[in-house]
Amino acid sequence: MADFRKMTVESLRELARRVLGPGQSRKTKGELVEALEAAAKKAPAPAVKRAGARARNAAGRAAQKTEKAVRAAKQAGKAAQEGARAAARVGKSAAAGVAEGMREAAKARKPRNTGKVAKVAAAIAGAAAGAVAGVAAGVSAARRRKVGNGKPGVTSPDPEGYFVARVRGEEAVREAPHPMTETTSEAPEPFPALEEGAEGGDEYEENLGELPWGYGDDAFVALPRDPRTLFLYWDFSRETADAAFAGLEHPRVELRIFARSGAGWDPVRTSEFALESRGFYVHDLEPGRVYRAEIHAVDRHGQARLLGRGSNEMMLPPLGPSPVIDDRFIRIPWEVPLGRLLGPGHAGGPFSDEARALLARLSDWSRFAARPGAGSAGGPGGRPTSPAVSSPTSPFGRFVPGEGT
Amino acid sequence: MAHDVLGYVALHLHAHLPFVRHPEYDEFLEEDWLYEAIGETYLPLLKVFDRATDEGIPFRISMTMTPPLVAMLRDELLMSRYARRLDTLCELADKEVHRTRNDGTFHGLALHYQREFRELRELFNDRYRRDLVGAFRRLEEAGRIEIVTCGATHGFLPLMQQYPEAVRAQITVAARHHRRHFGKDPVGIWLPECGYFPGADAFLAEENIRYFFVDTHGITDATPRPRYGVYAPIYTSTGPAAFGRDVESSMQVWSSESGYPGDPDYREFYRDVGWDLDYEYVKPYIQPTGQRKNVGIKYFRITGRTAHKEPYDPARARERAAQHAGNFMFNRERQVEHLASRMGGVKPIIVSPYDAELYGHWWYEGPLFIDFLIRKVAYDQRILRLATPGDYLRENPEQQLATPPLSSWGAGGYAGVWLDGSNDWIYRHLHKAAERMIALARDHREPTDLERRALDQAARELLLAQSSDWAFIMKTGTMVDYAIRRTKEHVLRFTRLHDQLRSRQIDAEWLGHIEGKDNLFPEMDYRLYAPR
Repeated sequence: MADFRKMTVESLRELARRVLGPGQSRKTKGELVEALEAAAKKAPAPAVKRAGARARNAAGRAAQKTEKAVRAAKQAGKAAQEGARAAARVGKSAAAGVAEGMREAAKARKPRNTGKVAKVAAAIAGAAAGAVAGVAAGVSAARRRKVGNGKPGVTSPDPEGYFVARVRGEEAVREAPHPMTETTSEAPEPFPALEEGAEGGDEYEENLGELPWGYGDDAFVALPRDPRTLFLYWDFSRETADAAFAGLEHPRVELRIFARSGAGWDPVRTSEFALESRGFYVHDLEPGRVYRAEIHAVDRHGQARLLGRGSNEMMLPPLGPSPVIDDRFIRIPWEVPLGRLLGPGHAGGPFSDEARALLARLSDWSRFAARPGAGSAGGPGGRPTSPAVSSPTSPFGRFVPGEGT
Repeated sequence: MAHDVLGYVALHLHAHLPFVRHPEYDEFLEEDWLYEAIGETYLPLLKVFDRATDEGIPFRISMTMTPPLVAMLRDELLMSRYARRLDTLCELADKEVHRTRNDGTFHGLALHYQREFRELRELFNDRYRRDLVGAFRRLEEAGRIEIVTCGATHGFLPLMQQYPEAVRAQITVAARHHRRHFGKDPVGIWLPECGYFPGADAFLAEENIRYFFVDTHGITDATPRPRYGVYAPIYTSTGPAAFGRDVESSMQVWSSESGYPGDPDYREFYRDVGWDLDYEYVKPYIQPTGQRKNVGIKYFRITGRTAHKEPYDPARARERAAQHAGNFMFNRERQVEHLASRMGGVKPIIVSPYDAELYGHWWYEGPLFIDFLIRKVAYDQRILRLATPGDYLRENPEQQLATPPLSSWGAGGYAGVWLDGSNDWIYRHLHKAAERMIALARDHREPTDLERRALDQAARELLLAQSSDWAFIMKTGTMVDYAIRRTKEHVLRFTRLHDQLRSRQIDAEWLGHIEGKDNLFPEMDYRLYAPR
């Protein structure tokens, strides 16, 4: 009997489909082997014997093919490793070149600032090497797809992943029985050319090129990610950076975060960072406050100079129920068009604290927060729950199947 | 409307797909999203709504039809491709009937799919004459559904808030598009991803949009604290009302653990003949590359948390859908009774929004569930009524004033899905393009015809680049290359148009090419980007 265990899952699945019929897609390797071995052993009738023989022959052929494929894969792997090493060498060399250039530039600016420059150079070298590796991976992915075009077994993801992610969340996508995810290659393969004779519009070579690395427009932007996290990105021109560093001894850069306080601004955080990173997530901020950021070049004596201009102001959302209780109501008749200023409204009548607290509890996700669920778009996973509101149960109970039917 | 009930349930279906149209290719994988959604969600929903309307059942449901979806459903090329897809499906169903002719277990199911696909083809070609937008519009005119709009290209507004003109463009273009296709102002809007930031309501008020939706914490964390939680809307300072999602009813459908769609009797989503059957047999129906994919014929039911799956039984699943509809209604009745007793005479509204594509595409029996639900609500109880948010505001024009916080319905509840390490690189490009578009609109007050075309197309390219779907796909890791490519292509086309306008050297041939390719919003007017 052929050793089914030496076969790949894909070969086993194809074989099982031929021998046992449909319904093999979700079986594990163990289950496939078990089923095929059982079929081969049974062979009670001549027809099944023939099927068993066919299965064994097919298994033998498949095993041979698998071995060949494994050998080919090993060779390809070696070649790929060689390629990767070569790419890494190129990357390192490129990175070293960039770093060297930076070192030279830094030397020209500040001859004794080697420690900081070395750090920056190391960061750039790493980034450059990473970028080269990324491009190499992208090229490799593109090549793999091209080879696979028109043939079974190509490994681009199932397009259903888009829907599954929307309705069941990221986890469901990763746990799906068919591959639904792909790695970012940063170098997407161009759309494949239309096959000759195929229907479709005209080919038009747009030659759009690549997005620029930056715009050098001195942008410094703050974006709200969640109640505690601010994202910052910047795009300072060389001239702006040079102007900030000019005349400073051993300069480093500091990111300073300010929160609005009355008519002024409180400094709330100072972080060191690599200017070349071009973006930064500021975590663990206080929810519900307005923030802005500045980047300063600071020398060894503490002398600081603002780099470019500060970021825009951005409010992070509050977390939890507002402490403000001010029930003002207003009537907006449906027939009246919007677009005019609303009045101040009128005070609502009395309302018990008990009812208010109950309705807040019923509204909150905390009753369900511990339960797993979908959650990339509309699903309930990962919803914020109010720190001031909790209720383990609902007065109108759980949804018991059968009840009310 | 009669005040005969204790409260309301607002069922909202958000129908959306990103604009995917590739006339340059005979077949394009991502166009499948549209074809699958038409066949498994939009047509089945229309069937349910139309039959209930024909039978005089008094139901009310609100629906988003996003501008990109409407544009694709009104696109002749895409609709002819879908018609071809339906023919192919019918052909496969016929083959399945033949293949299973001696199979007592699956032959009945093969016949089920044959009937279903033939009916879809008849509906699409004959009853609706390939115009599903018109079909939904007629349902609105018949008083059965309330159609609301969305951001023009589903751009996530909180991450473009520093460019008010860009936010305004997402809203205004959508409102104009809605008027063009539905013949009236949109009374409501589904903010893309339920993404609200304080101040966004002002742009809605400019278009006389009366309400929008937020996730639960958009109400519970509003300032001042809303008296009635999510069970009544709040008015924002410029007038549009915010309706908050109800947790309880959400969980009954969305929860992967205890939600209805996971019932063992329902159809298993992943077990599709595109993956299960012999490769050579299904090859003509899967991807042109030869890669397997779902084709829409599925023979198994969920069964349980096991690899072993039992054959699907449509009659049993139908019965289950009826039970679940009854259960959903029962729970809403108890919920409404309880809430009404605590709200001091104010009638509660339970807002239950879902992705439309959950119904039918993921949860095959979802349209059946809705069918049973609207019938049961109409005839089997007197405690609540199905209502749209518009109905509620018409009947209850007095509401509390409060401001929701920035929020979304994405994982985590804020902007984290669309702003993380996988996709944050796009914002410097999107923001730069927005800034340039605003400057172009400011500087081109009297353009030539050719400049005007280039300016309008630049606005289209910017809007297309802003679609939240691209960042979402990058984050979830699904069709990442495609999402990156789309983002880059639209930004690059925008940039080239910008440069050509600035240098007064517009390539008319290339402009014509991209006008034909990215052809949504023919009514585009770039001047709405001009600073006010």
